[in-house]
Amino acid sequence: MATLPAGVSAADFNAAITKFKAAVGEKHVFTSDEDVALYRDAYSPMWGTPQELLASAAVAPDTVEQVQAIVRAANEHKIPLYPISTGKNVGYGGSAPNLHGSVVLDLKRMNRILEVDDRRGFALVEPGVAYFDLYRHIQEKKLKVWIDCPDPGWGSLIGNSLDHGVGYTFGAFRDHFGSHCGMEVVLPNGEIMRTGMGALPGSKTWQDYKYGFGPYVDGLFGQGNFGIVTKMGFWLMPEPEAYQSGYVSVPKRHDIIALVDHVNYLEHIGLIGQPNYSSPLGRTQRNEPDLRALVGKAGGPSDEELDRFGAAKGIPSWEVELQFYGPAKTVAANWEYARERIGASIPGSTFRDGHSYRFPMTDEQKAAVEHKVAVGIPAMSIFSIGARSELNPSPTDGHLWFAPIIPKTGEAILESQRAFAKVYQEFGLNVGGIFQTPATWIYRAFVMIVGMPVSRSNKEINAKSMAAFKRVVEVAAEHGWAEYRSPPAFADLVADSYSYNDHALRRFNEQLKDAVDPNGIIAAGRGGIWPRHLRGGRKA
Amino acid sequence: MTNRREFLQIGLAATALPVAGGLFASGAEATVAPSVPKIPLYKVLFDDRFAQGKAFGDVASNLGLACHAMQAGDVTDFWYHDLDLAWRAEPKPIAGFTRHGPLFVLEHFGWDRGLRVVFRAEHHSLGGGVIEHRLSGPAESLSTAAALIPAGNDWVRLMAATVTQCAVGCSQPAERTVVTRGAASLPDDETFYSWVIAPKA
Repeated sequence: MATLPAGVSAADFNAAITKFKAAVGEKHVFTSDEDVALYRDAYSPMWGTPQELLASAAVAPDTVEQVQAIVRAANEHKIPLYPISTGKNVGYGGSAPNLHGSVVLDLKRMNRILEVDDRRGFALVEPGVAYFDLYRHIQEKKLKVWIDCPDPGWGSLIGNSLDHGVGYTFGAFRDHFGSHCGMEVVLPNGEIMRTGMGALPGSKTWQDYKYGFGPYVDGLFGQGNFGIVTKMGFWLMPEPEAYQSGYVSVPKRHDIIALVDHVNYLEHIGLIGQPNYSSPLGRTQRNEPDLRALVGKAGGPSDEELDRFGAAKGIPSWEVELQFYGPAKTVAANWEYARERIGASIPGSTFRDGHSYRFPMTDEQKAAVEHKVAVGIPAMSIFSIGARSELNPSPTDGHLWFAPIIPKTGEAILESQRAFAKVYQEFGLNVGGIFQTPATWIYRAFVMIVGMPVSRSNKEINAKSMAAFKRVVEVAAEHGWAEYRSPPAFADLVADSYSYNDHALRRFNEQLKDAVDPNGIIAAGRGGIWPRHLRGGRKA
Repeated sequence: MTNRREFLQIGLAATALPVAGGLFASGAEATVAPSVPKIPLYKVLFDDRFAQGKAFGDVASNLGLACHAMQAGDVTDFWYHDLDLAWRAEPKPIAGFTRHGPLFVLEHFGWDRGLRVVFRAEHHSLGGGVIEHRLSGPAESLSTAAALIPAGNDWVRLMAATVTQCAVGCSQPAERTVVTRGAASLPDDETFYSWVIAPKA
């Protein structure tokens, strides 16, 4: 029996289902328990509990016109819809709705690649187009552009970007929402709207210039619930001639400050792609019981103690991988420049060459690339990792990502390591710590991401992770940091932390929501934005 | 940096397994009754890092089935160069012996194309050569579960034969747990899966 949305009668629900079937065909409306179960969040910390957020049904349209018909029927019967693209965003909720009992609007049948132009460097796609699909299209047509994809690459370009997803190649291409250009949206009243230059009928620049004229409304549809995106344009990186990586190591903990400043300069002036930071000293903990003892002592180690340990063992505190893209001559020259610049500034810094590639690559060369996403090749290899460990006791049951944004400085790294480590230790979680380095997907900020374990069989693990999550969101806010993405279970909590001027941002979003979607039928709760009739149930 | 990959990699157990002798004892091939229709498999996937994976693949190959050995446990190559294209034409059944990750991926991809996991067996070491097998699937196929027990080390071969001759369209899905004992073991912290993915009935 369907899990009805709150406040929706069985009569209204059944009437809507009948209209959905008329719009898309009976075989594309899913109401059986077996079919609806496929839309559960595979990594939900509330799996199998009364709190688990479940869909009531799912409907899978094939055209924009069918989406419009579904939206009109949903409005008529006040049925909450939850749009998904391919629903592969495990770790951030997957295909499960924010509002229990919503009907999932599954857009994966809308999977047309509408246009790819490798001269102007863009693609226009529908929601069901996955990164693998666009990659295949580009390879088959021998187009001279790259995708920038997340890892794993099985998700949708539109779905990933609308959740502010990120990637691994060069500059602003890693910001998937930021590198989009133009949208088509079905509004909550069933109308079709095109944004940016697309609002000009017959526009020839829809995917060239983002802003059109007047307010830039695209942002409302990212992590928002003001409409259903049915087409989206993306800028694509030109295929470079060459790639070169190089590794820079610095000896002392506080060298991270100068190192980050140099790397930021290299990145922001356009010489490198995504930098990858790590701690060689941190990695040796597994084999160095003395280091583990030092790290684990009451009050933690001082930076000087760690520097002395590292110096005695000849192990640097930090390392960064720099990735250069472009003509072969310039990548070599830029790597040389980086070595000179950093070497002159940080005593004891050392350098070694990494990988070197030329493009286009043969299939054999592509197969040999270790970190495929860095050169625009989608992969699923991340799912081949996942052994059980203290850090990850139930790897098959997934994890929760806690992903706070911190300033792009070495000082912020050092401060956040210790601030978060206290919380993780308090909850007995073996994550983060004083050797944690940030994720660098986001072009102009750092993300100190950790994964908290989830278990379908051990409710204590889930309770601990959820409690830790709540506490660490609070600690982050106290330091002026906040999450940039969240699974549905924590959307209200995270949204609540954005509380400047008595939650002015949320109140503004709610005014817009009431005006644009008065029946609250689109993605209720997404981004912490609830329709008027459900605001009392906000979880934060 | 504790990035996504490092979070999943920390504590990775040793993957080398001892190659057990006598893995291919004779007489462990009869599974589902000949009169019961079998799922016609497009391909059998196995993880060739493990002796049990290779043994599974050998049985499938000896049965005349097309096989794919996953490199480094990575399903990407199989998906992109083979299965994605095959499934665009038609939702074809596949079987395999893998760790959880590849099964998770292929199960989710299969959902998009109207396929489901119709047979699943989890193989988990309890230590000392004792392995617990939790099976779910067509009752006709699970009738062979009891034969796993005396099979000992030969359980892989019997499981491969069961999976590759999985019965079509079960009316009554069943579950069963059996325990085998033998000299060879799986890594203590790993669960392996034998499975069949086929179009939903």
